[in-house]
Amino acid sequence: MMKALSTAQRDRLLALLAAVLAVSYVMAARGIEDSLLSDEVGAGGVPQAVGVLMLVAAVALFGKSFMGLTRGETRGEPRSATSGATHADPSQAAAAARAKAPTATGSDRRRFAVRTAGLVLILVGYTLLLPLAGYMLSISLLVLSAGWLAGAALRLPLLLAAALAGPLLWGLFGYLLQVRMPAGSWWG
Amino acid sequence: MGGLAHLASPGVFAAAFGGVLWGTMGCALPGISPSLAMALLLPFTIGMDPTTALVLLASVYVGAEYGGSIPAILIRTPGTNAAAATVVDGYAMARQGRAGEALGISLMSGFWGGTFGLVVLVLATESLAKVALAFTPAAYFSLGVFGLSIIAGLSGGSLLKGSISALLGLMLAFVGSDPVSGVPRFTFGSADLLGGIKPILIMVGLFAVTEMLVQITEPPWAKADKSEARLKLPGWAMSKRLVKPQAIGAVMGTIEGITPGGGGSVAAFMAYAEAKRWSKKPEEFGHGSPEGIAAPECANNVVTATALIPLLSLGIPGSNSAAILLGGFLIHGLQPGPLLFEKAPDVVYGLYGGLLIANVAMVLIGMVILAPCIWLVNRPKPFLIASILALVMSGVFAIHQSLFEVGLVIAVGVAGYGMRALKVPVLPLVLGLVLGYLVESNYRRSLLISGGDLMIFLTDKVSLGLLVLAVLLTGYTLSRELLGAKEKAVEAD
Repeated sequence: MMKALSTAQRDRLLALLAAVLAVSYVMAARGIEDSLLSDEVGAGGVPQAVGVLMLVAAVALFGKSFMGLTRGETRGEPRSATSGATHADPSQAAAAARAKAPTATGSDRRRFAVRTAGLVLILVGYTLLLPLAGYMLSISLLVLSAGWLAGAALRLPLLLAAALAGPLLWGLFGYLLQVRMPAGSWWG
Repeated sequence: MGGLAHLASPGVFAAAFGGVLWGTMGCALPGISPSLAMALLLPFTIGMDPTTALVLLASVYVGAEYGGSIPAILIRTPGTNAAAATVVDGYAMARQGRAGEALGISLMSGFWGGTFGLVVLVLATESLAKVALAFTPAAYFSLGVFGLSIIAGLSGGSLLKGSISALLGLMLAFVGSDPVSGVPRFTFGSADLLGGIKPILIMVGLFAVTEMLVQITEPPWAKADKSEARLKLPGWAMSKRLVKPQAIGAVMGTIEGITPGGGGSVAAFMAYAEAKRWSKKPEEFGHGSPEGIAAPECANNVVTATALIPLLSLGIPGSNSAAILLGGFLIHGLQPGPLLFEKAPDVVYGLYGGLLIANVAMVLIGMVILAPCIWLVNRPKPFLIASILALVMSGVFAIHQSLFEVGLVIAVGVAGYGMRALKVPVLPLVLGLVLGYLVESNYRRSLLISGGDLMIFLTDKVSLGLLVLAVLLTGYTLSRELLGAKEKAVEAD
């Protein structure tokens, strides 16, 4: 079951991640070997200081989350974990529509997570396919799959958009901007 | 008068219009930087006369800095580094159905900024060049610290989260070869990381990819009606409101433009933070404030002219774009520096005249191309998401033809999604990333010069002044945040 985190829980999670990152970063910075050309501070000096500052900020955030200093932020949670954009002028139609949006349920959040993960997979798939199938086919498949995942029906408009995207973008980047896009190892 | 004479030259006229069009269109594509757009045209300038060639290159720069704001406002993707500060309020306005108004504000602020910068360039090149010469490594370090002191203003109410974000940006800035000894740092043996992480990759990932990952789960956007889908230039009342943020942008753009290494992105962020500080409606910032667009857009367009001051008067290219322009001078046998004004005054004044035409061309071209751009983003959301991703992935690959960089942008997009879920502001990260090299390299150079004596940062007058300003700024912002937190607590009770 997926559950929305409270502000304090979010801050604690962030503090934990920041602390882990800070410690790993300082350790990696301490492992940097200086060359004979190096100065007194050394290649790892400033990064170590930044890592320590990160650790201090993480500890402070962790402490703050227990002291109830974030209580003002806990009211009015947005409908999904990431839809953080708010608008100054609520009279605007788009803003009003967002403000009236219902609170996301557990199943909504699960569906959102699956869609987001699906889009990440599509992008990773595009990156892997690009050197093999070439730019024109890969970009057409990216348009087709991302458009379908975003809610477009697998009908003529989407198929047409996908079929046109490859040649159009190839022309724009390959000819107009003179950038060499991969032809694809599958086609020799 | 020599510059004005060039206004009548058809070649200079065509170069200014063509350059602005090329720069605007090029940098409206995420991943195409102003320097890349300029570099692509550099070989074509060989056969041109020097004035026309330099006007063409400088006009690309003018168009590029403006063009970067178009995708920033419409699709939350900064076309250039300098447009990152415009994303916040520009995109918020677009989501409220005010895209035309946001683009109009950006266009006119860019025009006023570019024109102001040109006036500064013409009238003050000689005296401001002396200021640039006064910048020692210690002063550059303090300039970076001064830049970082605005983090609080970009933190969206949580200074601790903003600090974590900025420190993460600094950490990313240290990836690659050490600026002093050349030792690889945090590269994990990867040759792709030796040159460091390009800020534009982080920005495209954080803004564009993250936004698409969020948007794929959101309901369809409210469609802008016909009147909202038209470019709307600011009226009299709005223009009056924008005078203050534009003036702030003009000052920041001038300061950052004349200091090599400062650049449009730092100017834009500083202008944004200061405009918020001095605004009568600071609470609107981050939620669609017109002032939040006017200040950074004015600042980065001022830089297109003021960045030429150290180049023309001292021969110092302060940015990648200025370096390409320096290449344009050298191709035509001209050496920028103090003697340029004596040896080739016609070229210098011709460049001034060309920049004036380029600023007018920016408004005219902007008015023509913005309407189709707005129409484009009113298409059905699934098609738009697919098109944006196709454009972003293509643009990122086009930078260095690197699959590693495409993968990096996707990874940054996923990390940005996590940052949004944890309510971590991303602008401080971008600021840390942009300023990381400036701060570290000049800190270490200063200590090398002083033999390890930290007093160098206090004995250098420019450095001391900047550090005092940074302390005052941070103190003021902290006191305001503490007061605000107290008021919140009282309200909650």
